[in-house]
Amino acid sequence: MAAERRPPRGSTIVPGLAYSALGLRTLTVIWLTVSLTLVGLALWRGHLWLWVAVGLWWIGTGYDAWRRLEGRRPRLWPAVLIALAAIYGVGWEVTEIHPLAPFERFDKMRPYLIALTQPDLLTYPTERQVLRIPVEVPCIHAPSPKEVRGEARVWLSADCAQPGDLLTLHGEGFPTGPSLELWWVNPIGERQRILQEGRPLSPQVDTMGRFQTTFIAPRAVPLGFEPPPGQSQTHFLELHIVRVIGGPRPSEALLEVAEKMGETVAIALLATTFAVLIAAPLSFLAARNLMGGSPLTRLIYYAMRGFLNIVRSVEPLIFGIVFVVWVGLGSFAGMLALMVHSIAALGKLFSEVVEHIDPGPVEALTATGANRLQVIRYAVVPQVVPEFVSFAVYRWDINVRMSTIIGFVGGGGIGFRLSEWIRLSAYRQVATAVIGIALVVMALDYVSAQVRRRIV
Amino acid sequence: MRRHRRWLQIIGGLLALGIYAGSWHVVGIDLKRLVEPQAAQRAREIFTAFLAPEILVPERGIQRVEALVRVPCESGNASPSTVEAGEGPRLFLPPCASPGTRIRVRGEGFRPRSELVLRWVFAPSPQLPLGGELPAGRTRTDDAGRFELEVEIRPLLAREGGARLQAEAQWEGRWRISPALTRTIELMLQTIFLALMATTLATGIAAPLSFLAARNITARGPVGTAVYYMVRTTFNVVRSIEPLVVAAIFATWVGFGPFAGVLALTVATVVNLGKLFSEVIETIDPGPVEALLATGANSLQVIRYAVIPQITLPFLAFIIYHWDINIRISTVVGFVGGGGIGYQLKLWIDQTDYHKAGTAVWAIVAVVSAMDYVSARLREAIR
Amino acid sequence: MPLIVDRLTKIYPDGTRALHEVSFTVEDGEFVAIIGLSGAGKSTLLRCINRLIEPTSGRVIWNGIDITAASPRELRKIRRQIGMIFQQFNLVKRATVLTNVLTGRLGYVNPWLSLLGYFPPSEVQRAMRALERVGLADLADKRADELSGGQQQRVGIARALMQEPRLLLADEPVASLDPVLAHSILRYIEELNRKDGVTVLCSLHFLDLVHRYATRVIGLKDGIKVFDGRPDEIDDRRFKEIYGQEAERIGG
Repeated sequence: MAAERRPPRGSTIVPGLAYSALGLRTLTVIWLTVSLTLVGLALWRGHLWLWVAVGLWWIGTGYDAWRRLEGRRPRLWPAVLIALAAIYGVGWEVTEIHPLAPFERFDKMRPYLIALTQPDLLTYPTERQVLRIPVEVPCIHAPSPKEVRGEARVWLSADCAQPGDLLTLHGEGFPTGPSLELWWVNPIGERQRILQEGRPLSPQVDTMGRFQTTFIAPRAVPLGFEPPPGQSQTHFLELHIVRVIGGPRPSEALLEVAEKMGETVAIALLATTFAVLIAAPLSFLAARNLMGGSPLTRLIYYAMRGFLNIVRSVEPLIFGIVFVVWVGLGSFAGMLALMVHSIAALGKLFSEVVEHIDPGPVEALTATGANRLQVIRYAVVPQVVPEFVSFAVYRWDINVRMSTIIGFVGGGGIGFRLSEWIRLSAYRQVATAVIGIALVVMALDYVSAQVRRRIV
Repeated sequence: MRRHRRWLQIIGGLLALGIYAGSWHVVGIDLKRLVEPQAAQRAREIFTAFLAPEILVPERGIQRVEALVRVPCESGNASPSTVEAGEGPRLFLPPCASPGTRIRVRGEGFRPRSELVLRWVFAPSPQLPLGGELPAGRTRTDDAGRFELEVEIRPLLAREGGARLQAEAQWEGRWRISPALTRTIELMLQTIFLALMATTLATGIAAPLSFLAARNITARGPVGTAVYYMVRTTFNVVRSIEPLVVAAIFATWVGFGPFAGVLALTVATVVNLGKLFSEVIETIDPGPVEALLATGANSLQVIRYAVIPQITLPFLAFIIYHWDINIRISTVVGFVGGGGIGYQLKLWIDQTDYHKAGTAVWAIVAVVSAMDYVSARLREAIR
Repeated sequence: MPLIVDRLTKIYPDGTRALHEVSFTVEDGEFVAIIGLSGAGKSTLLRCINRLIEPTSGRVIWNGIDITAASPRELRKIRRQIGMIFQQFNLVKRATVLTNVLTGRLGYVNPWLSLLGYFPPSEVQRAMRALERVGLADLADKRADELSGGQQQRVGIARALMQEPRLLLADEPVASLDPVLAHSILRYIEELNRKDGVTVLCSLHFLDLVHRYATRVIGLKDGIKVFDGRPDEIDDRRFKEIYGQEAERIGG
């Protein structure tokens, strides 16, 4: 029977035609879509190899169509492979995938991984005693050693230096308990910790109360304050003797994370509550079964649906930037952004709940002569409340996650500080915030799952 | 008993009230800020601009000619003759003039009926270290592309010893696709590909991992049980961190750009898909596995012919669903340097280019809704 | 080359004793029906023979080979000669009928090529012949879940046919089917038994089917063999022994 309707072999020149002649509708649509996509990509990127791929796709599907015409088993996989290779090739290029970058730049990630094992949770109150040693930068005379006497004595190997010079510091008569820190202060008072291999240098005092350490003079001349040629500036090397006085206390970062997580949860709570209060009545306007009556109500239904769908497809963060411009930086803007997105998302879910109610009670109440609002109050509302609550709890869960990042665009909560800490490479603070987020989100996740299980 | 319950309700109510009051205070809700004149003005500006996204812009045509006019004339007060400047459009004007007088400037060969602006352009000088511009007059060219205008020689010109007089004809040409729209389309394509690459990479990682997180496959013996709980816990912990946080960290790791976004989305998708996949594996029908074992097939053959056919379509449905989700996220991953449309959108809003931002927002709405629809249809089709 | 089951015992980890010292010998070409209440140990007995369930103790010897002592590799060699069909058919529902039938051949074909989804043309032809034999050749490209229950069970038989089995284990092959279909399925099994000389061990629920098809009956009660003999030897006393005092005979 197929032999009589068999399309001409020539149709395989345009495989889509052959497919359509064979009555393979889905395959025809797929063929057209893929062909257009490939041609579009080739036009966009303009690579020769993409045009080759278009040709091979054509030939591959032509071969498959020809086999089908001949009544043999289809063989589509070579063409599919070519199409996939072309699409992923473009994807690779467009998203600038550089598979080695994570390894080559692992040194940028290591501090985060280390910090995760030692987040900034506790601090110890300290008392510091400071010894200042002036250093001339750069050297305009031959360097000579410098000695500073106090309770203890320290010698610096040179009284002047260039950034990058190696300097040696040794001291005598130090107490063995406290730790030592070296700081460098430039002429305008900016202070930086002296590092060695990327980590703060902390010389060890031996049992005789002596220490010795070598370090590199840092580049600390402030921009725009360079000394005129032939003159030098006075910098200071500071030796801090740091004594711990008292027990551990929560660190500033920990206190801040705790406070901001509270704010984060509050943003989510209010955004969800307001969204529920607004979305619940709106959802009735977007329910087909309630709005099917007259052309006017049907118009409201379509308008409502369209509005909800448009708003729903815009991420809360985008609303975030808009509201930050509108009402200014802060949690209020973040709350509004989450609320608007939640209204749309909940409105859709709620309206689906309303659409799936049991029509029996509605019919019964209408039969008693109740008006439309009475029907909604006594036949619809009792049916939908449990599911509304379940969806609201689910949304609150999502909003807690979202409010952890709404601060990235200035919308308050932990996100604002977190983005700042990331920018400043404050690894241990970032770790504290990430752990705080994980704990709170997982806890609320668990609570909301339990609540939803109870309700439904 | 009932009284007991009443008390609980009162306490619960008070507690809720307290929580809401605290939240209200912490969040700093101030509805007045929505309608304050300035805020309302900004909001109106944004939303009206969003309703008129920049899609087509008229091509701007410009013709420019300039000639130097010295002030005052060096050779006393000799009546200056007219000189000609430029090719194509030409300018006729005296080469020098005295302060306080007016000179007659004539032009030819400009585009007919276009806006014509005359301005003085000053070279940098000790008084004007960056140079400067001064408007000198404005008119329209006639049907033959000519104009004539009198220009005043202001005292400033004498101080600077003269300046170049620039005549610029401007007109609006054909409507063209705006550069903002081209940029938006290009970035939306990048956004879609970002989501595609992340979803694919994540599938490749999550599919094998999900077997480790499936109770019926892994949780056998102490080692297996330990692995099972470890993978599960990792999934749950990582799931609680939003992809944007990961993206912000990855942007410092691999550098700003879409690759950071791809990696961040991959991490998020691996844990989500891993969990969903493992649930699929936990609910497969053990019958075919038994049947194939009975035919003498080895364990790889059993996985290939009894397990994989059962999980392929549910996996595919979840993959499509997550591609959809990832497109949504990748519209904002650019806010933290992760590529896609987000960075450009934020930039346009920060520069108060709200019409261009509107273009981006509508493109997002279009692509996200389309993907939402397509993914729902695809998932229905493969069920 | 008989099948010898020797004091086979299975105790599940939760302490349930599913089989207790069950012994019997099946000669080539017999059609043995295994009867008993649900939970009497019928499925466990069949599955212990090809070791889908590991017996706790006892031996199963077939063709002179001790199945219970076989290494995993040997076990696969033995299993490929023992066909099995199931109450729930155990087809891969999302795969095509042809693929489902071909999987019966996995123990014979090149394992690596089979992982790529490749089967030699000769095997595909063999599968088509098997489908013809159960009357389903025109449904080869359909997905298995598009078929009715009876058709699915015939696919199950075709899958077993692919193994060219010398022994067929059938675990309640007709319990999920209408009585009319039950006869059509059992006739295929009977044909295998009569024409190809395949030994059949088949657990069955209905006595009329036992009388119609089996040459021998083994009755199980609480994991213990309570009857072994010809179908016509089952009288009311024996019946009550196997099925309990409250049971009533229905049907044939």
